[in-house]
Amino acid sequence: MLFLQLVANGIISGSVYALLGLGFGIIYSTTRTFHFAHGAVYSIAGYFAFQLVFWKLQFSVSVILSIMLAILLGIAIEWSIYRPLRNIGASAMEILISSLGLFILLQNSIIILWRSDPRVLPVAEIIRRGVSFGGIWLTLLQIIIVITSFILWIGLTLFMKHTKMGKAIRALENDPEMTEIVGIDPERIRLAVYGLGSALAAISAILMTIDMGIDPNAGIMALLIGVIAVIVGGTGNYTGTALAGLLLGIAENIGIWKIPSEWKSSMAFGVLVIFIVFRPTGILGKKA
Amino acid sequence: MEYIFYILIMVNTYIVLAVSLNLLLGFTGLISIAHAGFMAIGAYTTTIFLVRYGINFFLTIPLGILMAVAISALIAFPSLRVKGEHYIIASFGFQIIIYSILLNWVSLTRGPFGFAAIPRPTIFGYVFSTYFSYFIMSSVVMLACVAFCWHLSKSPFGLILKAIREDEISIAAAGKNVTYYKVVVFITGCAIAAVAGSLYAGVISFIDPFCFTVHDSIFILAVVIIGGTGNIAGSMVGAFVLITLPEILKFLQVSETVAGPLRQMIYGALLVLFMRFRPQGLLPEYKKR
Amino acid sequence: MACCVVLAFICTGLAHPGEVYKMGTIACVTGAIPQHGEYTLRGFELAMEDIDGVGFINGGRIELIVEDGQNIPRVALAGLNKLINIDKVPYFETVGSSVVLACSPVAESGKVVLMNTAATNPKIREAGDYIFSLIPGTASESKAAAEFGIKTLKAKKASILYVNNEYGHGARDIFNNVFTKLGGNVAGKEIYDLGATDFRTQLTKIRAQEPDLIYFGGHANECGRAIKQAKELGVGGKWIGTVATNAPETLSIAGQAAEGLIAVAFPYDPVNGTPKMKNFGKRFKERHGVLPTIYSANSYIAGLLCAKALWSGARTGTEIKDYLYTVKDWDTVVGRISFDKDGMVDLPCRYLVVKEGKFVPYE
Repeated sequence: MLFLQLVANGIISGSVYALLGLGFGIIYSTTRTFHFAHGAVYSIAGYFAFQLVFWKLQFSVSVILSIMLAILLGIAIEWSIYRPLRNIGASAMEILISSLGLFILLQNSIIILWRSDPRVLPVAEIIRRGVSFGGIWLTLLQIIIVITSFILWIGLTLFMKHTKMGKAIRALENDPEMTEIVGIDPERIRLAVYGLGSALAAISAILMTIDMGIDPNAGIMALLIGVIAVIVGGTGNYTGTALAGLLLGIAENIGIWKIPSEWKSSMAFGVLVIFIVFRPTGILGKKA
Repeated sequence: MEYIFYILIMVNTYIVLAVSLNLLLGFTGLISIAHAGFMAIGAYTTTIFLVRYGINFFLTIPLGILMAVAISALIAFPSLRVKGEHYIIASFGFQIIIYSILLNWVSLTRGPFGFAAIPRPTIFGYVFSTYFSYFIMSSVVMLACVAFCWHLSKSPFGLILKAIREDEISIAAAGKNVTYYKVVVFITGCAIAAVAGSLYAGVISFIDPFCFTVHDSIFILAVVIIGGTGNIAGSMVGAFVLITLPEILKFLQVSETVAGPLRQMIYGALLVLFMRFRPQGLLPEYKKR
Repeated sequence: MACCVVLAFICTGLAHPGEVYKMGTIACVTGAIPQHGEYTLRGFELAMEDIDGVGFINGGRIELIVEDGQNIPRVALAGLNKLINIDKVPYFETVGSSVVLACSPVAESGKVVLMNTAATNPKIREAGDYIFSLIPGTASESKAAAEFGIKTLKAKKASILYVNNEYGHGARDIFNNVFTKLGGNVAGKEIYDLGATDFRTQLTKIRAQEPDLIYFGGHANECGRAIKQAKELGVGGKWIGTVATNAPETLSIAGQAAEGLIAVAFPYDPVNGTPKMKNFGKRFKERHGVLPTIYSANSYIAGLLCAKALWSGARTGTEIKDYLYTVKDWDTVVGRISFDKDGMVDLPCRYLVVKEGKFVPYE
């Protein structure tokens, strides 16, 4: 019974981890930029949603505005920071470091604005009530989280396969030179990708802020988990990334069954390090 | 007045950290954000031997170096198979793992409680009890480390490191064992970081795992980059600037609550601006780019 | 107010014209437990008003210098460094077991008085001559909690949920020892990091342990979250919290889930206590809309103690320390206090329970 509850807890965390992986992954596999600042976009979306609701704005409106803010922010970063750097021939390392600097800048402005204690997005109490499913306790909120993640994953997969933009993104991912020859503008696609990835980050952030609250460290942890999911699942493999996220959540929770709870976060990193070192292409990897 | 020497001691400590990270980053091109973890190894080794076994501070420094060498050797080989941006993530992983071990292996490290009342270093009966005397001592240590790194950078070994950074494949084709060089420089850089950790523990009188987090690693990275990668003097200037300038915020009566994050924001902004307008840092490696 | 009239009579005021005396506080202004920063500063606010009301001969005054320690030792030490070396304060107040234990050696060697208003770790007793505590330690309250569990609640099995720092470990150890000595069985000890918001993992394990009683060793905001998630997860058993959980945040965060929570408390009662306590409570509530916690009361006293020491002629840290050891049976807003030879006070424990959204005495 304990075991099954832990698995259930793992699936809930894991579905958010999957979303985090997808959000970061779509940006990374398409643009090959290590978008460190993604963690800050995540945080800002969560805090912004909290603040709007705090100012008594309607819940759904707040959510939509926060997602829009994240999209704009992601696009702005690509347009004003990464693109100019690429144009002057900056190396990947230089772009990474400026992304890191940007992350620090945004992250600390959050701390100045909202201090360090966690903020929780309030929702109707009823969806937080725990219900027992044969001994396994879940809340409606947690079920909503799992379903939302699942729908988004399916939606993303269909989008990539069947829409024009989706196919253009895949084209850019696989063969940047060909894309230009064929007449697709890679810069436009990059902007779209940053928007899409940031939107996914925003949704994950809002879900987490409702469920557990958001604090200044949430951004960097979200980023790390996204990265782990992408590396373990295989860059460019969205199914792999989602599965990796899910498995990571489950593994984390089952791990503490026997291992004391304080080692929980290092487990995720242990998994990461093992994969990076021994199998960088991931479980279902496509390319290194 | 004493307070100024305290700040200068911190500058010395971070100079040691910056020049050692520069060996990895500036010379070899390895972006590591695990450096604070190796600082922690030095700090904890010194503290444990000093407090638990009464070993003289100056003898604990080589012990700290040995610990750092052992642990970095352990992770050197696997981690160097990792390339580019994956390396920074792997180093993040190491940082978190070292931090977790320090936090949770309570019987060894006292976990979250840390060590309080760490005694000041003594030598032949003389106690370095004032910040002034500690500053003199730490300056000696710092200059030794800087001289070592400088010498290394100018030696044939150092030239090969730079060549690796510029064009790894050609160097390998020329017959040099690239991995060997990377491993050696990695271990050396981490070992010197441990020395900085020992200096830190000796003056601050209290350490716990929260003194050595990934944020501190990122700060050391910022010092190296802003100071100038591949330039030893640049690291010294970078450390001096990034440690003393924020202290001015204190005197401007900015509340500490805002000053802390504000300081970080300045580092972040500097990183972005430097990458855009002056990627070679304050003191460039070469006269012209 | 009566307290201040008495003080005025014993004020000998050897102040120089317009001299400014400095007193420091390393408060949790930001960080994981900012409510404690609020408690501290609000208590000091009232103390400063009362001190200014009495004043010093020749117009001297006390200045309170606030440093943000965030309940993180390394940040607190940086603040302490500044207080001692730049501001040259002879006396400062702070909270947090980890912070107090980290600052103690520095205060001791700097000959500066550390007045602890909230930290309860047992090691604080031996922290030094210059270290004083206005709050009795975990040794009293966790012991009282364990005794209550066995004798009154007739609990046989308990689980402990505690924060990963000196405070939490202290609470865990004392409760564990006393509970098992009295014949109970401690089924599990689950740890969480300071400021945690997700307790599901720990609570799932606790649920499997099926305890009669859950002892919570942590802070009010964390308790509020934990107890709320426990209800969501269907965790049974009665909850007993440490003195820190007896605070408005526990109730505001947990809401309905807090019903039945038992908290250990000291005689301090701003609603039904002594006239001094009631006046303090009333005054605080009028200004801030909530009742003062014992921590605000303690920082109020901490401010007054500094003033009393200065009025008696003490100026340096050593002189203030010597003065404090002479404080015996002083009637304050938390009761009658005396500092024993280790600089600690001793107060009896009582028990509160949450009924209809409020902390009331346990019947």
